[in-house]
Amino acid sequence: MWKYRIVFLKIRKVSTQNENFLKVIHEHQALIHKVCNIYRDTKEDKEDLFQEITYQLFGAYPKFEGRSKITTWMYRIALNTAMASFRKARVIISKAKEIPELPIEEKDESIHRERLFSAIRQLDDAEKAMVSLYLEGMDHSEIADVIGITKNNVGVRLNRIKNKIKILIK
Amino acid sequence: MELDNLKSEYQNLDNDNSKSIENLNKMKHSGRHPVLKSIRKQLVLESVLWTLILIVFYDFFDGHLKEFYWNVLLVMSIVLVLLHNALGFMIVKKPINDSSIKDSLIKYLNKIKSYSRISVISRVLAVIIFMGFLTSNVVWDGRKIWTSLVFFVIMIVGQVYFLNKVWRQRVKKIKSQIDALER
Repeated sequence: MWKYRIVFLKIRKVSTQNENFLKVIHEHQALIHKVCNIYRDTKEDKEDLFQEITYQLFGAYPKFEGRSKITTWMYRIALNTAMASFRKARVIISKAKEIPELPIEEKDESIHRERLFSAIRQLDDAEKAMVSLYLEGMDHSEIADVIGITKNNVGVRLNRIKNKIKILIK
Repeated sequence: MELDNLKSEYQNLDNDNSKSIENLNKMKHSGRHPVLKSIRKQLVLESVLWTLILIVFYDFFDGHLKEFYWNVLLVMSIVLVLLHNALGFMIVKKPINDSSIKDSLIKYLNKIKSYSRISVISRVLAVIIFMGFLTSNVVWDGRKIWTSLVFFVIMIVGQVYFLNKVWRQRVKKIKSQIDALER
């Protein structure tokens, strides 16, 4: 009888944990969308990656120890999944290697933003990870912890990335 | 526009493709995972095929005329292939979750390296045993030996080449990600 009661309580605990975590993912899903936008070009690829990340988050959540912010932990899993997943080969009809030139009179901020995102998409996967954490407002030591490199290395790499982006959007 | 100017805008980015709680809830099941879904499809198809072979091999391939150990070996090789498929599914299914992205990728690389070795070895073993089983009571002469040998070699080299190619690409991808992080 005791055994059944313990099993029942465990199931109820897991179910409550899942419900709570579902709310957390729902609240912070923009984070997953941002990672998908940076790492994938097509709508289908972005959707696939979103599903992969959400699946991995659910699987990894029972081991989340609360040592970092939940969003930092989610970023780590999301970036990890984006970098490690093997995509199905798709026929790419056209992929612009160059960032489209803008007319001189075009000053619209949103277009500048899109140009910047296009530039970020041209970085390698490791650089994309660093930029997304940086843009999310993490400091160098937080980025170093998530990526697994030294704080000094983060500083050097970010400077290099900033210069690279400047050249790309010139 | 500098990268720093984009920070607040990036942090407040909204997405038009926002998912509902119900939709997110469905994504926690492996049936919705795009890679797992295709692996599962392949796994089911291969498992059905091999199980069918397992069911009919004794009658169709004259199992009763072969040495007992060939029958045992054939069953073992098919079980090996099925176990190997299941292992592949488990590797993708297991969350990538270490203390940092670099550590996770290193661990994942080691895992897929070992899995790729198992993959190549199990397939080659299965082909060798299957061929051996089929030809175990053939009365050999010079021509038959050479024809079979050529056929065997082509089959094995073909298997090794294609499997190796697929795994080499995957290992190379993860390795390049780790190198890029360490650069």
